[in-house]
Amino acid sequence: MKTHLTARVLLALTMLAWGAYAMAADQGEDVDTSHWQCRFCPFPSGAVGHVEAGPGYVSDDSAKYGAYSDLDEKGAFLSLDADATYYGEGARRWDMTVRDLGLENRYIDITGGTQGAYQLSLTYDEIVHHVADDTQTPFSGSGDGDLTLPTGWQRAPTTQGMTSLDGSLHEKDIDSKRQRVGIGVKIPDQGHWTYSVKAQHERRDGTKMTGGAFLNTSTLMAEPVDYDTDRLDANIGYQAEDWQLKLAYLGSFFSNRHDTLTWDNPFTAVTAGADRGQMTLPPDNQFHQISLSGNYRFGRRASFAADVAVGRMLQNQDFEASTVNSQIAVPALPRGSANAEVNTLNANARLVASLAPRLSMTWKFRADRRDNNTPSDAYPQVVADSFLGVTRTNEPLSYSRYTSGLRGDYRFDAGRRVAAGVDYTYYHRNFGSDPLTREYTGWGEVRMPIADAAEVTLKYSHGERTGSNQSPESPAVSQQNPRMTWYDIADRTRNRVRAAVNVSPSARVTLSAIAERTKDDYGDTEIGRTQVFQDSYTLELSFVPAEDSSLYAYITRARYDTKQANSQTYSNPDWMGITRDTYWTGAVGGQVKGIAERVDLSADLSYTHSLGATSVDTGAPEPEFPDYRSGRFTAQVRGDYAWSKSLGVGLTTIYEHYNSKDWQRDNVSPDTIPHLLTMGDASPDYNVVVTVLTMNYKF
Amino acid sequence: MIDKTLSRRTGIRVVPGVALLLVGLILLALTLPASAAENGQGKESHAQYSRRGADTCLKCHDSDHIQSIFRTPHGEQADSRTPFAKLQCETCHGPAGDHPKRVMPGAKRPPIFTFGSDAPYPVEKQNEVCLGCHKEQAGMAWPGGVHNQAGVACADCHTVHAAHDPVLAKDRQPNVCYTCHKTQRAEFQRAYAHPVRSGQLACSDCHKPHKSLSVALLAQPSVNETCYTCHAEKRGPFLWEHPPAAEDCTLCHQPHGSNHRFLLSKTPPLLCQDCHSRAGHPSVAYSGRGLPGNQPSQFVLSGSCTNCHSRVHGSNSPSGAELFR
Repeated sequence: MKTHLTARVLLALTMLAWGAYAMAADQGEDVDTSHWQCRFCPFPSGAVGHVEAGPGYVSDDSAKYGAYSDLDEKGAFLSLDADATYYGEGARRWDMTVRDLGLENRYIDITGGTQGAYQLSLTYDEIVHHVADDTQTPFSGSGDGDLTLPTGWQRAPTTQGMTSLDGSLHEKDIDSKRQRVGIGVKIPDQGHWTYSVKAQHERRDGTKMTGGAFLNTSTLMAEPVDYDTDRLDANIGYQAEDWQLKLAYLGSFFSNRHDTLTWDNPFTAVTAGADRGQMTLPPDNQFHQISLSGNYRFGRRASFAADVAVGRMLQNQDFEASTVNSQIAVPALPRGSANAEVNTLNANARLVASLAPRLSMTWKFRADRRDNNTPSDAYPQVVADSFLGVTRTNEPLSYSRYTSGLRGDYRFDAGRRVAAGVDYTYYHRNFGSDPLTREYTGWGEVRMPIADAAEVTLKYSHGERTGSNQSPESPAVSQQNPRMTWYDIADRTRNRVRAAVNVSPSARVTLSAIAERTKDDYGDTEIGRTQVFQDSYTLELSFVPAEDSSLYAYITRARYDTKQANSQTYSNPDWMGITRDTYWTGAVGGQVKGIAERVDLSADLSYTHSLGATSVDTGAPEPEFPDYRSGRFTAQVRGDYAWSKSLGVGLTTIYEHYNSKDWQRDNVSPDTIPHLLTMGDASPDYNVVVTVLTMNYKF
Repeated sequence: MIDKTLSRRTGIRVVPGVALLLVGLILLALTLPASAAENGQGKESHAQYSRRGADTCLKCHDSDHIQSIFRTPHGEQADSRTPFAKLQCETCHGPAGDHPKRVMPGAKRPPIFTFGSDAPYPVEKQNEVCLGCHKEQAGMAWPGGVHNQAGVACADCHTVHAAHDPVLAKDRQPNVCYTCHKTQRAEFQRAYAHPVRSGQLACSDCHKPHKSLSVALLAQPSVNETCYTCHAEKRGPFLWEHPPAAEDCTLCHQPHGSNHRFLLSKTPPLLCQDCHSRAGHPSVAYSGRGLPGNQPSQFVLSGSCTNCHSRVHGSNSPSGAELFR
């Protein structure tokens, strides 16, 4: 199939290319520009830009507030941003962008060269992620691959019996930091050819929280994050008047400086030798992908675009020992490494044709294949470093998915149009019982004016997916309830509706409202996800009272509900789980520039509130779950005063209040759960005020 | 490995239909008369250009926000590809010979070609001007793309005269996208979200509005490949795969934002119990009885299922079938 398809597409592309060449016409015009001297054109030369720098202060500690901004600790910091461009002779130009230079979250980009001839880029980017600053652990060595308990640790069957726990706990923040260095060169389309190469190295260092189990007990601890990832993107493109082709290579090379995480079991071992555990960490891997993309334009009447990407994922890290428990005799492994190999194929094609001045048709096709060639073997299982279990055979996942769609668009005039289409998806997974699904979707859309200054858009789609209404896993192997159906393969009816109204009573006022609803019914599912409902409603107002001022306000309410059924008795459904997440998000703000030709002011207030309800109904009276809650209120005010054209001062104040409730973490100390030693983190609450005073120098 | 019989069966159905449809539509399109827009373009080419080019325009249009175009790549005369190396302002705004001429009192000044949502010219004509040069940047997948079909003008997103186009700056770009994508704006405000709100990520880190033919205009050919751009450690391939993780990250995660940690669509155990029904603890109906103050349970609290099955994205341990190790 692949050969036939490739040959036909290539033949078509070749014919179309010659056709395009023959049809190409010189559309240039003779214009007398002998008097076009551009004497009044303010072409810049030398360095132009601005630097904004000054002290800032954070009022309180909060990992959540500073999760990505690095403003997680109380105290002073340096705010330093800059933008600068150097304009040289002969189209030479260098741009520099600097953000947050005074924080461990800095971003520096230098891009330049001779415009139209070559472009070089150098980027340094840091992204921190502060996850928790209230976490505790009794282990030494956090951040490394070997966690040990203090000398004299008293093991116990439950956390309450760990008499040395309180005295051994110490703080261990959970966070990580990415540092990326990228370098690139691009030779743009001078002539027909374009070349570009970009290389990036990322170092990611820190910790994440993970769980390590010994049968009925488990321990949460700090897993080392010690990753290096290199990426290489290389592209070569050819561009003609009506067509273009691009050949690209993408390489990704991931390596982990730690192969395993080994830790002392803080609980009394229930099997001989289960005093230490060892888990594998993400193995080194590689990915190589070659892609070819192109398009062809048939004048203004039609356009064809396609791409195909062929990739290969490789992972062949040597296996670690099946267990560190020396008391367990483990049969020989069938091989020394997974020799994992997954081939991917992703292809897209799209043809757009104007069949009449007002009518266009679009055909699209998409293919996604994942061929997992990893050898399948039987591996003896040492369960949680505790005992020798049954032998298991790995089952690599492969799939092939093909989607095709046809749509038509008809424009009555600039404001009125209708569109309709059908899509078909064929999805086959080679896993377990090889489930196959087919989905048909039909949709229609109308856009039309409803008054002189108002426009409405309505869209409705209906999809029916049919396929294997059974778990792809064999019950004999996985012991799944045979009534279970995974929701990604289950029969499904999906209905979607979207309505949007835009009203512009004047050039200065815009009012818009959007409503979206999606409902998924898994009507034939006995056990598993049975329904998903989500909606979103937005109301927005923007007002421009004058050229240098603007106001806005919006509010969005969204909901995400799920229903599921399950069975505690391994038979018919006997309980139902319902979740409902409701979100309210609103903001109001505005800005005024040039007050007395010297002052700019802006203010933004935003509020986000979420409520997550969880209900499990067995028919018997059971204690209910509390709600998840989070609320964030942010007020930001900024004022800038210009002393002169080149010098100014800015003052920014941000107040943020955050409160949250999470029943999975709140009131859970390290020893709250008898068989789980936690790190004691709780849902975040904070009040933070950030004040920044900066000098702004323009040059 | 994918079943070859299946591939052959699929190919038999797909390829002839695709080829026939392709050829049919192309032939039909090529035999039809040119569109009204095409004819309109021909008429305009007879209009007069100004006598002195930009010098004529800048006598009146001297505000900073217009003249800042000279700080952009478009304003570079030494690059033969740019508007100012060609017909200056009139490269994009069209022949403006009549525009500066004296008009009778009460008469309307002859307009020039303008851009943006409030411009009186069809979006298709506006975009043709930009795409006339930006073939490589935007030409690949723009025709027939969702933005094109929604009638989005280039100037709806790009501020061409600004010294630094906001949509090209990663900390300012989301606000441009939110002009239309209001639901996503709200999603990124949720308790757990990728760092778009704080400016560390831009929409274009995951979506390529001009060049992508992929689903949701993703920057990479698939959902997972897009996620692996930053989360390469999740790629594996692992000896023991967790099928939904290998198949589609969005089966469990809401990439734009969630009420739950790790951007999960809902928390375990219910998230896991959507697919797991084995007798014993996987299918138990856990309730508030497992909370602190009652009978605090490791199956409910903290990471729930992941307290023990922590290798949820896959395991490379020979003993990792249950994703413990």
